[in-house]
Order: sequence, then C-alpha cells, then structure tokens
Amino acid sequence: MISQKIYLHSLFLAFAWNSGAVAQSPPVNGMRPSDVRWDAIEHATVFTSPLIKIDDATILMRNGWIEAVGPTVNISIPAGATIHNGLGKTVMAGFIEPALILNSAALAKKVAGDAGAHWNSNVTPQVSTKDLPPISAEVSQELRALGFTIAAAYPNSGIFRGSGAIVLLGMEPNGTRTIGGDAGQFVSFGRSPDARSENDDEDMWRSPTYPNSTMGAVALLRQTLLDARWRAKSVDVWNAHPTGNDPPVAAAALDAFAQAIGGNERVLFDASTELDALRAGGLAQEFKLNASILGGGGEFRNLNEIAAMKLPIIVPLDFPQPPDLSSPRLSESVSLRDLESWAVAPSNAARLIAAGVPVSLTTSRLKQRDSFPARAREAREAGLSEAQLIAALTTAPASLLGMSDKLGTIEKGRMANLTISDGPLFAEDSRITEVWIAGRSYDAAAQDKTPFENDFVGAGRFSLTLADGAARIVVIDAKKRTIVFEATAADATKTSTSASNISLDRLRGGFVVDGDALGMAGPLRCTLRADGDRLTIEALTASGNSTSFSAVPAQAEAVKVASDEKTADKSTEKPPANPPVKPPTRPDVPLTFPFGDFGYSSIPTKENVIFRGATVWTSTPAGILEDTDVIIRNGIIVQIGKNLPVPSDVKVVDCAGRHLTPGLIDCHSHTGIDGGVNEWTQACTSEVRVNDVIDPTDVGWYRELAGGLTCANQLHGSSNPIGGQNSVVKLKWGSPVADWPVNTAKPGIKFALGENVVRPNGRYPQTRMGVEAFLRDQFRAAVEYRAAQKEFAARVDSANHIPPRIDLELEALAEIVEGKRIIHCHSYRQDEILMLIRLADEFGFRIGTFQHILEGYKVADAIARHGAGGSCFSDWWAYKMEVMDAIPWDGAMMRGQGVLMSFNSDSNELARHLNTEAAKAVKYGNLPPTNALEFVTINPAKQLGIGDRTGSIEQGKDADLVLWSGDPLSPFALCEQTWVEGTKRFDRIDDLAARAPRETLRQQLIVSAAQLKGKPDEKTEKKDTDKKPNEQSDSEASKPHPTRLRESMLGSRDTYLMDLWRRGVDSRSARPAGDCGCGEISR
Amino acid sequence: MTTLLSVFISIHLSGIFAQSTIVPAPAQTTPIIIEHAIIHTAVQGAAVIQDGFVILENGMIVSVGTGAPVGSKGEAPPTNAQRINATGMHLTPGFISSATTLGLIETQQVRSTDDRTEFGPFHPEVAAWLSVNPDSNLIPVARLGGVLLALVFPQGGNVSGEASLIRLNGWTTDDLAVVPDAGTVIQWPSTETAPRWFTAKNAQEQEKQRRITLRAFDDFFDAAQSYSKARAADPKLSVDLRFERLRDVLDGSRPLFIEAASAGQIESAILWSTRRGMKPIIVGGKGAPAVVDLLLAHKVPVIVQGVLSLPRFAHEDYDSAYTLPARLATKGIDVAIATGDEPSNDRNLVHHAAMAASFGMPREDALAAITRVPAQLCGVGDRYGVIVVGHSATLLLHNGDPLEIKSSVCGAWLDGRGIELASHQTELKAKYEQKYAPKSSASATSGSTPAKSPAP
Repeated sequence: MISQKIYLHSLFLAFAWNSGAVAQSPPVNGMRPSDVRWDAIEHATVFTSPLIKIDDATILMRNGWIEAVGPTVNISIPAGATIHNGLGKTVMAGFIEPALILNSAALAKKVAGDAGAHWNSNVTPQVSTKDLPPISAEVSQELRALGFTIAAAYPNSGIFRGSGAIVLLGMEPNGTRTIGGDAGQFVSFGRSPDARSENDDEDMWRSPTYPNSTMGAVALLRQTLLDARWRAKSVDVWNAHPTGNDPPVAAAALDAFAQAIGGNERVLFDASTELDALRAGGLAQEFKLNASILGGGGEFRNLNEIAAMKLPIIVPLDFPQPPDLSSPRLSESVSLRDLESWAVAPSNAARLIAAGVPVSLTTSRLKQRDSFPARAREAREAGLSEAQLIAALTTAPASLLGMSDKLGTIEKGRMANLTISDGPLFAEDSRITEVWIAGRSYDAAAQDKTPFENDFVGAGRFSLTLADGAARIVVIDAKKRTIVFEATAADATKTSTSASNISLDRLRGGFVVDGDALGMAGPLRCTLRADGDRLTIEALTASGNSTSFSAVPAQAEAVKVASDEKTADKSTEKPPANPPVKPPTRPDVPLTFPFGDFGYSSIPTKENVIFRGATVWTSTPAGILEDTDVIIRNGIIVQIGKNLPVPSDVKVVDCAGRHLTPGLIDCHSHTGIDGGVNEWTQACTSEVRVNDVIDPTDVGWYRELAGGLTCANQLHGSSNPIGGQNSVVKLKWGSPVADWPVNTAKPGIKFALGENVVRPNGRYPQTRMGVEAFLRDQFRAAVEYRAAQKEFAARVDSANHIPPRIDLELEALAEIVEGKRIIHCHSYRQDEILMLIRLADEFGFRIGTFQHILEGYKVADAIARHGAGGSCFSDWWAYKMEVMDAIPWDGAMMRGQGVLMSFNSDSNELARHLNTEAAKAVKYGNLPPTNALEFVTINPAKQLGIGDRTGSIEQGKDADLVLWSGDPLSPFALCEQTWVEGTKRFDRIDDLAARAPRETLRQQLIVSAAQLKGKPDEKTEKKDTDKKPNEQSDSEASKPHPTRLRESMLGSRDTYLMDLWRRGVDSRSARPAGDCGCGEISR
Repeated sequence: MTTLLSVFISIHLSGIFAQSTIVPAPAQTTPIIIEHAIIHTAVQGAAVIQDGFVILENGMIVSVGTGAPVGSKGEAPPTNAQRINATGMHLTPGFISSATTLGLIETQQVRSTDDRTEFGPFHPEVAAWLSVNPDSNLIPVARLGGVLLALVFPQGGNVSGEASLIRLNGWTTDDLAVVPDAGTVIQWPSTETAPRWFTAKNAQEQEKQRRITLRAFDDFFDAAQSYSKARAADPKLSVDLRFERLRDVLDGSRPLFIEAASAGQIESAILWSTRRGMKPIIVGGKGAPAVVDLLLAHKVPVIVQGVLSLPRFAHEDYDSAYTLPARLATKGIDVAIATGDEPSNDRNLVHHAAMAASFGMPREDALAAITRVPAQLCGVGDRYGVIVVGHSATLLLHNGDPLEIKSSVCGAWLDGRGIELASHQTELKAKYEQKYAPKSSASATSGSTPAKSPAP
C-alpha cells in the first residue's frame, strides 16, 4: 500500500497534465472542459498478458493508470466512472513502437558545431530526442491507427546518432510527452534507417565526408568507442592526479557516450542488413555494450549466427513485395535469393523467436506504415502465434526499454495504455478501433490509390486455335486493361476466362491466366506480342514448359454469330467467382547455406579423399607429376605418390585424364566487400578493415569457385594513397563469415599511387610529388606515435598519467614500419615505383607487393633488389594515361629480373579464369607452363604470407585443390571440382544437376508471387512523395546519389546505372579495369 | 626548322599519346604460297584441311587445296612466289571485331581522345569511319591478336549513328574504309523495371520514361519514313541529313544494329523493327535464348557481346555467358561474337570465341563467329571472312591452335598485304630488353636511391 502511494506520487510528477497543472498551457478561453479520468471498459475480451485471455472482462482505469482488471462479474465500477461497452472488442496492452525514427538532421548539424563537438559530424551522441521537434500529429495518428500507444523515438542522422526518448503518442497541447526508461543510444553503420530495400548502400554517399563506406563506418565506430573509453579513463586520471597532466579538453560527444561505453546505457544498432547485425554483435562483444538491434528483416538469411549473438532484435515487417512477374520477360532478372527472401521473409520474426531471440516488432522501414496490419497478418500466417505477436508488440518492447513495471500488460498499477480491436488482432476483417493512452481514448482512421493509361497496339478481337484444334476468341481491351478468353459457339461447354495481373506496353504484354483458357493445365504466365497483324501468346507453365499460340484478327461477323450475347454478358461480369489459383500465403522454402542462389542444403564439410591417377601440377620445383595419387585428410594433403594403396576410409575420385592443380589464388580482388570498396574521403584510411565487411554471400564467390579460385586477397580500393587493411580469405561458400579469413596470412594494407589518388579535388595530394611528401609525413607520425607509447609504458608512475590515446590509423602505419604489416601498393609508373622503394628503404621496411605494376618491367631490377613482389594484369592496358605503356610481357620480364610475380584479376570476371590468364605468360614471355601456373598459385601465396599453407601440392599443406578436365592453361579445360581445405565447395556435375530443380523452384516461386500480386492490399503503392516531412526522414529527394567517375561524363548516377541495366550489365560488378573501385569516386 | 619543329612535336606527342609508328603494309606485289598448313576455311560445314595450301596473288586468294600447291585450275603455282612452310601451323581468315569502338577512342579517361558518342538522342547521320584514327596505338595491338577488320560502332543516344567496317591497315581513313555505311546502330531502351539499386525511380516512373523513349523512336522513324516517301516523290525537297541516312535502313536494304540485352528488349525491338519492314541484327543478346522463336521467325542474327563476361543476374548459371553462343547457334541462329569490351582488349577476341567453343559451340563455328558471320552481317560475305578462291587474301597464320590462349599470330595478310606484327608494345619490350641485356656497350640500370632525400 505504501509503495503504491509513492508510486502514485511519482506518477503525478511525471504526468501532471490535468487542467491547470501545466504551467505552459494557455489559459482556457471559454468554458473549461470537464476531464474526469475515471473509465471502465466492460464485457470485452481482454489479453491481460500475451498468454492470458479473459472473456467478458472489465478494465477499470483512473488518472491514466489501471485500477483493476478481471471478469466483469468480479469488478465493481465506482460511481462517476464513464462506462464503455467493450462487447465484441478485443483489448490488449497498448502497443509499443520500439524504434520510431525521427529526422534529426538539423539538430545534429547544430550540435556538430557546438563546443566539445566531435571532429566528425557523424559522431553526435549528444543529440537528444528530447530536443527534437515533437512527433507530428500525422505520425502519431498513423501509429495510433495501428494500435501503438507509446514509442521509443530516435534521431536518424549520422553514425552516433544520439539518445532516444520514450514518448506517449497521445495528442498533447505542447507536443509529445516523454517518460523515463532506457531508450538508449542509437548508432548505425551509416546506412539510412529507412532504407527502402536490402543492400541499399546509397546512404554511404550522403556526403563526401568520412566515412563513405561500411568499412569506414565500422572503423569510425571502433575508434570512437576506444576514444570514449580513453576519455573516461583520462577524466578519472585527471581527477585523481591533476599534477603533471594536461587538463582534458571539452569533449561533449564522447562524454555523452560515457554511460553507454560503461554498459550502463542501452545501445541500439541500426542494422539494416543481416551482415550489419553480425557486425553490431561483434562490436558489442568487443566493447561489452548493452546492445540491441534494429534489424532489417532479412535476419533469417543468417539465422544461426544471428541467434547465437543472443541480442534482442527489433524486427521490421518490411517484407519484399512480389516483383511484377506477370510475363516471363519480367521475371528474367529475379534471382532465387530475392524470391526465396520474398517467400521466407514473413516468417522472419517467428524463426527468430523459435531460435530464442527476444523479438519486438516495429513499423520502421515500412514503405507505408499502414501496411503493418497486412504484414503482421502475413507474419502470423508464416508461423507467428497470436500470443507471440502480442508479446512482440507489448511485453517484449516493454522489457527492451526497461519498462516492464509500467508497460506491456494490463494489470493493476500499469499505465492505462490499451489497444482495442473489433475482432482477433490483425485478422482480415478486423481493425483497430481505438487506443487508450495514459487513460485517454483515441479513435483510429484510413486512405486511397492510382490509375494508369495504355496504348497497346494489338488491342481487339483475335481468334486462336488451341493444340487440340478447339478455338477461342481473345478480347483485349487496352483501356480497361482486360484480357478475356471467350469460348466459341462450337465449344459452348467452356465459359469465358479473364486474365489477371495484366501488363501492357505498346507492343507487348504479359498476364496470368488459368490454363484452361488455352487448353493446358494449371496457371499460365503468358507473354503477348503484337507481331505484325498477328498476336502471339507464349504460355509458360509452372513447371517451366512453354508453348506458343498464334492468333489472327477475328472476323467481326463470325464473332457476332458465335457469342455476341454471351460475351456481352460475360464482359460485364466480374472475373470468375472462384479464381483458379488460390495459395494465399507465401510458399515455404528451406533455408540454404548461404541463403539463396547456389546455396547448399547444409554447410559443406571436410572429406577424406584420394585423387587417383591425376596429372598433378605441384607448383613446386617437382613440376608436373603424371599419373599420381593425392590423399587428403582433415583438410590437409597427407600423401602424394604413384599407385598409393587406397585407405578404406577415403572417398576415391577417379582422375584419369584429368589434371589436379593447387587452388588458384587471386592476389587482387574486390569480390564480396560489402558497402563500398573505397573509403576515399581521407588521404589516409589505414584504420579501415576489409575484414569488417566480408560478404560471404556474394554470388561472385560461387562463380569464382567454379573457375578454380580458392583464395583471394580482398583489397581496399585505390582512391587514396593509404587505403584500408586487406583481408585474405579462403572461398568457403556456405560457411559462416567467421570461417573465411586466413588468420595466418601476413597482415597487409592497400596503398595507391598515381592518377587515382589525386583525383579527389580539393585535398592533398594532387601530384605524385605530393604523394611522396604525404607518405613520408605519415610514416614519421607513426614512428613518433610508437615512440610515445613506449615512453609511456616505461614510466614507473604511468598510472598517474593520462595514457596515450590509441589511434587505429597510426597503429596500422606503425605496424608497417615495424615490418608487421605489408603494403600492397597500386602503382603503375616507374617514377612512383622507385619513390616508394626509396621511402621504404629509408624507413627500413620491405614492400609486400606492387599491384598492377604495369611499368614494372622498366624498373624490374630495382624492384628485385628491394625484394618486393609484383602482381599484375596479364594484358590489360590503355584504360587510362598511366597504363598506355603497359605491355603484356611485363610479368615475364619482371620475373626474368628475379621479381616474385603473380597475375591477379581485380575483377569478378577475370577471377573466374585465372588459369587462362596464367596461360598468357606462355603466350607473352614464353614461360614454361608450370612457371606460368605458379603466377596464380604458389607465387601469390608467398606474396600473401601463406606460402607455407597453400599454393602448391605438397604434403602437409592445406587441401586446396582444383580438378580440371584437361590442361589447366587451356580454355578447353573445365573446372570440375574445387576443394578448399578438404571441403568440396564446387562440383560441376552437382552444379549441372542442380540447375533444373533450381529453375523449377524459381518458376514455382514466381507463379506464387504472381498470384499473390493480385491481392488487393499488395497492390496499393503510395508514391514516396506522399510521405510526411517529419516521418522517417531521409526521403529519396534529400538523398544525393553515389557519384562515380563516369557519372561526370554521363550525367546523373541514375543515367549511368540505368545504362548498365539497359545493356544487361550487373552494375554491382561493373568496374573499369584496374580502377579498384575508383570509378566510385567523385566530383 | 619546320621539320625540326614537327619532329619535336611528334616526339612530344608520343610521350602523351604515342601514335603508332608502324608503317602500313604496301600492296602485294609477289605471289605468296602458304603450304602444309592446317586450314580453317570458316566455310559453313567445311572440314578442316589438314595439309593445306593457299596461293595469294594481287591481294586475292587464287587457290586453296590439300597437299602440293597448285593453281585453282590445276596449273603449276607461280614460280616467283614467296613460299611459306607452315608445317604445324594453323591458317584462319582474319578476325573481325564486331560492335567495337576501336579507333574512336584511345583512353577512356581522357575526354579529348573519345569520339564515340555524338550529342543528343538521335544522330543517324554520323558515321564511325570518319572518326577512326588510323594512327591509333590500339590498332596494331589488336592486329597482333589477329583482328584485321573491325565493325566500328558509334555509341550513345537512341540512334547512335552509322556503323562502318574498316580494315586495320592504311595511311588514311579512306584506306581503312571497307564498308563506310554498314548499318545504323540504335540503343533499345530497357523494357523491364530496374531494381532499386540501379535507380531511385519507381516502377511507374520507369515505365513512363520507357514509354516516352519508345514514343520518341516511333516519332523519329515515322518522320523518317514520311521524309523518305516525300523525297522519292520530290527530289527537290530540302535534304534532312538524319533521315537521308536512314532511307535504305527503313526499306531493309541495310541492317539495323539494335543493341538490346534482355529478352524483353530483344522481343520488343524485333517486333518494332520488323513491323516497319527493317532488317534487325541484335547486338548484345544475353536474353536472346528466351525469344529464339521470334529470332528464327524473322531470321534475326545476333552479335553476342562478351562471352567472357559475368552473368547478368545472381540466379543465372555461372557459365551462362560462356554457353550463350552455343545455346543460340544450336537453334539455328546466326551468331557472331564480339568482345563487348573496351577496344584495347580487342586482341582477346579469339579468347571469347575459345570460351564459347569450350562451352558447347563447335570449334569451327566459334571461329566462324569472328570471321564468316560478321563479314556476312556487314554485307561483305562475298569478299571476307572465309578462305575460298576469289576472296580477299585476309588471313592469319597461328603458331598453334588458334583457339588456344598459348598460341600466337605469327603471320597476317590483309588484302594480301603482309602486316608487320609490331606495335608500341613490342617496341617498348624491345627497348627494355636492351636495358637488362644490352646488345650494345651502353648499359643502364635504374637506381632506387640516387637522390637521397633529407633524413626526416
């Protein structure tokens, strides 16, 4: 009783809103409204908690709090209470929106200019949602209409975006009211919180300021977290021992994060992709953060790894909508991954819950917030139980926000927040009728859609002969967008059939129709062509068989005779009452590894194998061994020899007539780097790590495995002199990303010289001589940095002094000078090559590899003397000025001078046939074939510091092997099998066998998607321009697009990318040769 | 003085844009007999000739056969002939690089070397051969890869301009031009909605844009047709250079090269062009297998661009680009192969053909796809593209199987002219071989530390 009194007291302080209690309210001009906050809802079905339902219950509320709840017969309603009849209503605890994203750009900009601001305008944790303009009436109304009563709102701008606030969604005279709880800090990976689709990295390009890539964002996150920690430590040291220490400078940004870095404030990560979610988990672990995740909706694609993080996830219901698949042409571009994502996405929440993840639901990321009920219904059809749904909207977010004592259930002492539905929650024919917020009720409300014009030239009546000789009439009305198959008089047993899902352009169209209309079975997806006077229809069945029909203009008289009256009747009729196709839900598909195209049904595992009787290219001085056996066990090559006895426990792979080579290694790859290859915004970005952004699901990996590649050096781009840290990975397609990096590889970093690095205008350096000065200065800084650290460590009284700040940028540079990290340097011209050698000699370290190095043949002797490796293209040239002197004999000539040489791809395409690239060292330079193959096997292995593990076929080495149908230097050799550490990651026979089933599955999903497209609530697509300005911000219009080099020649980014699309080029892999993603730089 | 100055300028320029210094080959004066070669005639259905010969006279092939060389009527071969013993070597027609921009651009990143694209959406009046730089450094490099003829395409806009077939030998553009007006190149708009990654425009906006573009095509070609009729009726009518250039494309006497990738684009483009009575050739063609029936019905050939290229979509088979030529050719479609790449890589044209052969296309058909078929598409199938009597002596001698990457071109004749197999690149190679293995007494090495910078 006492505790309750205290409780009510504090409540009064927090919610003193009654009548004149708010000092800032305007005086009442006229009669005062009465405000008796004493209400009872009777005879309702009440979910007091997700699992407890009371039929015919009564809820009693007083001053915004729940007084009592129970069966109506047990509750006595005091006099003066307003009684509401809840008969037929379902009442639940008020829904909680755990991640309402508000536009904070203006405030963030202001804060970034205030005293104590961080140097980087993306770091504004001091922004507080409480200081933002109140949530607009429209947004509150939208949310209430969906049943939401309270929201945790967050700022949207930057990477460290600021702290959130928990806000009531009622209509308040002075805007919104915030209440206590731990909304926490909101941080991101630089992507927009309302990204409209997956893989949308456009926000990287918001401004030319650091960072512009995901890896840059992770680096900034990591450095800032370190800084926040260091800041807290320095303040402590200063407070205890001011003498001899510099007083800490103002650092409002870092101070604002002090609670979070200590684990005392929640940190919500905006992870719009599942890879971001894993990154968030990694950072949370590294810095022991109290983390939760605003997911992207694609978590099911990485379910096991994400569930293993054990972090609460706020799940959006932004399911991919079916693409327009009415005609086979339109489905050409739709990948299995997209279709499977479409099919599986609604089950995301249910799958996460089943995997033990605490799940809350959010309306964030929905293109239209009002599609939430429809999406929730789909989630339920996909396995989310009613109790789970309610929990994800009530108890789960309440617990996430640390407010389980006030929110989430209907019981005495909880806030009087209620959500009322006129039937089962989000059922097809029920809707949210009202919500109660802090004891006040609010009604809910609704909206509209758009038309389209048409000019199809083949409109009219056509007669069609079916395979069985029967005739049909097709009537196409372009204006009404209808296509009707009429029965003829001769075939009167048939009724007319209307097509659905119709698309028509000037000459072609597509539609879906019941197969019966064309004398076939099942639903058909059809393409329509106005081919001269004829009309042709190509019909594709769900199993992928296609049949063509030709139709000619129907004789007007004949038609009249045939079915004049009948058609008149039919055409006014609605489409057939029972549509032939029903499945209302998205089909279930098994999760694969990786999810989507070319995924395996389980993660591939190691096998013990004997490769029997192969021509073995060892890439050792032993050269080629004919008719030789190779035995692998536990991922290691254990025996090589002729006619080896076959151990009983190994699988035999017959290699007669086949060639076995080491797995190919690409010393320069940009495959599978998520969220941008270049952090080009600063001249030195040695702190960024490609390791942070490996995308193990990039289909490029699979294609490269199919060309015999087993290992790649993932490099940062070449837009700045000092780029990011590299990542050496084995291509473990199907395995979690954590398994990919080769941990024993020599740490490396990308440097770049020449044209690319001086392209960004308005920054140092702009010349090759400036590049030299810049590098020299950076190395000096690193030397001094390390010296200061050593000096501090040597102090006996170091505890009394502020420690040197850890600077990840200088750490990496210091490692270079110490010889612990090797440089892979993009370079072309001889002068700059010699410059870097001179500098390295001066600082006393050795350069790892010169990359591209197309003028290397001019100074090969100097490169050999220094001891650097060279990794070049076989024959690319002329794509820019500094490669006009490139010659294809470069590799062989440099090798002739004693340089360790490799050929690389720098391209997702070339990386698929590095074997034939190696053959060019025979063509140009006359190398013996075995030495040529070494350019893509042992040589790059040595260059990456993994020559002791891979790159050759020797006992004790990793079983990275490729089986070829013939001489691997011939284009006629097909890669038959690719083995990575004893696990078969590609098999051409399996690949061929999987094609038909994969295409069948794709077609089945397309048919399902095309059928569902017809459902009314799927169709409405409001224009983005309808969005309210205060809503989830970052509207398309305000978002500058990424800029690319070629863009300046071709106009806008859209023009450039759409030109690629038109020409059938996947823009994601379209990168000019040797440009290292530098086409992505700007202005 | 003038001479000195011009020498200076040319040296200076060669530092920036090294102009090819390879001297164009003169006309053939003495007969040539190449004997004991393995001859790939590229004639449809013809077997490879194992111990074959060809006799070349006055730029023409005058005899082809097996065993000891004889004239086409069985007469003794010319006695003054240069005889080349090609034992173990392969002879093919000269390769034709289709849909290339060779000669129109030197390097992408210097605007002033780029003459590929005229301003605006419709420019049928511009013809590629006029802008080809005969001294482009890219040309000798392409020749070393066996490319002796090039079907050069202007780019950009909706109607890009006139394609020209050129020979890669000569002092002037006039020397180079074989077929200045090989056909009109147009860029068909995309017909499918692009995913959001490509564009901020939604489906409706994209469809609207597409309709506007298709309507613009219709309007332009309607106007061209009206002009053509009006001009035929009244020769005094004011000349419209744009429409004038289109007249014989409109009536189908010259082809319309339509750049189109997706099945929808190809379908839409064929329906549109055949409806107007034009003769389309599809360029690009990645989506063509889905509309094979239409291609066959209208007898439309395809120039496949980029066998060595990535699948367009994530779900496509990893080898979809490799198998594309085979998938079309086996259905009876005439397939030519182009690199679809920057012209500096034209020398790798045969590697595209090789990959097509590796993935299902019969080897001789793959060779025909870079010889006979493109010659036919340019209307010179009676002169170029095959090794038969009466055709131009445009041949390549290879030191091994022409489809093997390890093989090289070791002899080349263009209209009987012996092509010097040299380029800026071979010159650089020779120059720097001198550095490491000097033939004269002067030696040179590059030092890494001649100018010591002050210690930091």
